Amino acid sequence: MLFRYLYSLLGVLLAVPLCIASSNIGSRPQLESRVSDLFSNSTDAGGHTNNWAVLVCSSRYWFNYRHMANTLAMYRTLKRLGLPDSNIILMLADDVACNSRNSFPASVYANKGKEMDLYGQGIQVDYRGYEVTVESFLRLLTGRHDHTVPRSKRLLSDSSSNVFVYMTGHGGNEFLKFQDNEEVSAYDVADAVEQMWEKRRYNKLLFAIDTCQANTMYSKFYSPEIISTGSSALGENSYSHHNDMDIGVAVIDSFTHYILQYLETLGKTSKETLKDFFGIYDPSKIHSHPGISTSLSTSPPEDILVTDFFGAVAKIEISPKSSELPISSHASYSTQWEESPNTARNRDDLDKEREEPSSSSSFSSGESTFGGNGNVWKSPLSVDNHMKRVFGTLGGLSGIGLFAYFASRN
Amino acid sequence: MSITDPNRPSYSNLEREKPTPAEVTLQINPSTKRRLLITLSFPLLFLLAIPFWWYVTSIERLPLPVSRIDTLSNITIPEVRGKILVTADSDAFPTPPPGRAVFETKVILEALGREVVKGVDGIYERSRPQKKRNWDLIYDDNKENPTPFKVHLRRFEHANTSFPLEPYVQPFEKGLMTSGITEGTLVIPVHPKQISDRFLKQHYKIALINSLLSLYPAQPPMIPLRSLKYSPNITLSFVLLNEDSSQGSYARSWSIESAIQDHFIPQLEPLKDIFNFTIESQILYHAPLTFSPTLGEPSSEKCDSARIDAALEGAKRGDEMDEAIAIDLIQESRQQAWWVGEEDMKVFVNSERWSLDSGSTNNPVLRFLLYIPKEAHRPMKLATEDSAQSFLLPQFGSVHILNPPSLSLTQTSTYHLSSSTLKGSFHLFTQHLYSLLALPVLYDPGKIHHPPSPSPLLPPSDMWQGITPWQVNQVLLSRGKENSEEAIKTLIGIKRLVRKIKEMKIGKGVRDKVLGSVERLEQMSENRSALENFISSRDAVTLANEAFFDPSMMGLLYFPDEHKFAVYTPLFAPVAVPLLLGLLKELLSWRKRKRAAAGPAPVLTATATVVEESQEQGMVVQELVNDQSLISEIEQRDDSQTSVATGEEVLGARELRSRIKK
Repeated sequence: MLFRYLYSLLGVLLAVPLCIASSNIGSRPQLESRVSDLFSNSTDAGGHTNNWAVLVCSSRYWFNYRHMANTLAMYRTLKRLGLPDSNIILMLADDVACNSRNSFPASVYANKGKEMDLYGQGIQVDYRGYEVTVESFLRLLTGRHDHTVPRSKRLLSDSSSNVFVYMTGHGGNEFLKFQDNEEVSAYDVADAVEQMWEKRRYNKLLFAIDTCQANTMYSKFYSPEIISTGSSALGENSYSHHNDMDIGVAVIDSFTHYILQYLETLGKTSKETLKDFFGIYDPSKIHSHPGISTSLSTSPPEDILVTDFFGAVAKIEISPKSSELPISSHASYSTQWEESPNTARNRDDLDKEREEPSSSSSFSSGESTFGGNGNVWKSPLSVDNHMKRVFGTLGGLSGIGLFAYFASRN
Repeated sequence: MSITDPNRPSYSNLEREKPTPAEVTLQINPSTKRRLLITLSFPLLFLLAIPFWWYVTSIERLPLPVSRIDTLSNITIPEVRGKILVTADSDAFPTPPPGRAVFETKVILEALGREVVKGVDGIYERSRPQKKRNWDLIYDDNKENPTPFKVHLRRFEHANTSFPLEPYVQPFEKGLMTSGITEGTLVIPVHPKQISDRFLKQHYKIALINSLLSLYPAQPPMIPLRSLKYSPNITLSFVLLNEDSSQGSYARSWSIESAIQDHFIPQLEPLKDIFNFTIESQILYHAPLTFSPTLGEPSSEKCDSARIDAALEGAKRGDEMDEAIAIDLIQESRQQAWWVGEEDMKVFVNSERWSLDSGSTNNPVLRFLLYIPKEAHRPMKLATEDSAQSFLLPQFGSVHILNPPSLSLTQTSTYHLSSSTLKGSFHLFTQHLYSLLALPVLYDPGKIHHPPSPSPLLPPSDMWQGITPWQVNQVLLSRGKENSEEAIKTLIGIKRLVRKIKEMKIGKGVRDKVLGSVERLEQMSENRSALENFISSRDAVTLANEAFFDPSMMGLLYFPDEHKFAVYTPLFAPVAVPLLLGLLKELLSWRKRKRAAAGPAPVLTATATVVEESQEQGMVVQELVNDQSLISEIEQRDDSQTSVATGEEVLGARELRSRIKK
């Protein structure tokens, strides 16, 4: 009996503060408007069509090789999972690949065995060297560029984009050092992200940071739909994973190493969620305590696919059969295909053509095409012309000679 | 320091004629007043510099029209009421039997119009959420300001003889055989045989209600996620991709200009007030895939037997073309194909290796890719069932896979894609353009039909006709709505950010842009035309975006207090110590002097203080101190009774002092 009363008493006790709280919400128009603002802002709830990534390595110098390698390895992984280069903004504060101390010039490795060259071919560094500053980073996030900044240096995301921000470098309590002379504070990053949210520049944002005391960097976020993770707690260092004796410096940081190791197991069509992603964190291996913050996100990590951030295109739409032209006017049958007017050209002819750029352009029309063979536009003097000139000059000279001869005779 | 020692016996024994060292000191040192001025000038400078420092370091934050922005957030986007002109051929109605009154066509139309309006209102009233009709029917056009929306009831010999009536929108016509109906008119064709029908009026009414509901919806269509956000400048990039032309059998050229002229210009031209299109095209000769398509047998579902049957039917009738198609289709259905799975389609576009646009602008680009697989990969097909060989990538563009005929002419032949070959691809691209730009589709099954061909000799075209004024109006309304909503959201965003981030600067440029945007949004009204409202909304959103993305709007960096201390302390602490100490000394001596004035104190003490202070004066006084040490030397010699020399020395010292003064 007593217990029953106790339960009802507890129920009443719980109800009282709840009622007070709810009446408070109702009576405060300010809060209400803020809540409604919050909802009005999310135009396309949950829907996303494209992914963007901002990868930042903020430290210079050869001995920070591992930070460059972290970022480049992340870049490679994103590309392997199908994110096009145009949607990755890569910021590298130094160019270790071409450092004179690099005994493997023009290559960067993120592991001891030097299995994969991260620099290699097809790399697009958008901000490099001294372009990587706190200002350029914050301008990138907020989109406040000078109008001359090219497309490749802009984060052109919108309300249907998922944005992944990865940072690495040397940091401390609530700051991350950029280059060697300035630092970005957690407040700055939080304010920049808030500005992104106000302009609906992301649908969801995943913030990952690998630096000492990394978890302090995301502690100041206050905008919605952010999931953040860091490598180490306040007062902890973030350690490198291993050295390479030939390169002579540490090649990768632990936290990033284990993330990449996990991402390596995923394919483009993986259905793994962020919960699985966070599940691989092992403080004993990483030697620090990685942090995860999902309090700002409305959807829990188990509902978000890893490929929602690390993947390529969110979806495609296949045209139905009915959208094709009906059979009578369909073009795919053989009689309508024409041979090219200059058909006799096989490969050899093509090669020849390349050598003799004066022959007709292979484009359908000069005006509307671009790219391709630049030689077409600046055709050098052909041999005929040359000979004509020589003959002309000779003729002229002989004429003068004859004239002089007759003049002297008279 | 010997001079400050009061216990020196020799001091009091000095002769009166000679200046005492204390007097010398007094003469050498600047007067108390002057020293005070010097000492005070430093803190004064600091005080005077404070306003300047304040002015230089304070953040310019001009006030924004917050209350106007707040009122904007509650406004509804004004709806412009359209006028629809209804006309008819005079013989589109049955002639009344003799003896009955003959009505003018206009009168009949007015009666019909009332019915239509009643019908539409009834439908809108029943719909949930409730909608409102936003147009009126008129029967006489205003000559100065003709309405773009026209309906015509046409008596037409080539119309369908059975009901229901099949309304269509008049396309652009050229040549001798034109119907005389202006382009973009909604035409309700009626066959002469149908005119005598008893229920003709009902049929007219149904056809009118249906077609007007479809062409002039109460609310503009939403902008779906797959479409581009509004941007005044859009680049269209057409790319012909050969997977690998090094192995021969590739498309060498294409009639891109005529294809664009035929298929895209009629769609783009009417949108010129809304979008500014730039078109570029290119041919790529090497476009490798990142995945390998799988070679597989066609499954029974994948071959479309219906089409083969249809073609075979035609072939039996002796149609040569159908026969060829049938052969082709049967072969196609038996052939093994290279299948592209749905997951592969997501990574089909190899942006890393293919350069798909010139990248010359910051405008959004829509890419239309015509992909020709290499011979080893033919025929390449999409593995999804019942689909066209084409797919759309939201906000990016579309892809169409075009397989050259299996019966290739020669192994090394190259193709020219003529406009008839490109017709199928461009038909698909047109549809994709509609999806990507959120243009409303004209044809609505059962409501709006394809127009008849201009000449009865030609078969009706399956191509989509150019954009009509009805669609342009819908685009204007939906984009106008999108823009004004975006502008208002951005303005509210700016307002909130400025309140939240105190370090953010608001200069004159930003404020002017915000004001301009607010003004344009306030200008929008129901009395202006849809185009005027759209232009206002377009400028408003452009200005609001410019204000938001203004480079000067960068919030200044946040620095914690420890950081500020760490910066300012090394700079100011060393300067502050002598300044503060000097002031303190000055204060002390002032008090002493006051006390001395009250009760005369021995001269000795006063001089001693002065000397002591003069030593504390730092750099300026240093030379004088040197002087004093000279004097003390003199005194020491005084002790040893060498007075002549002393006198000379003192003179020397005076000269020295005068030199210093100079």
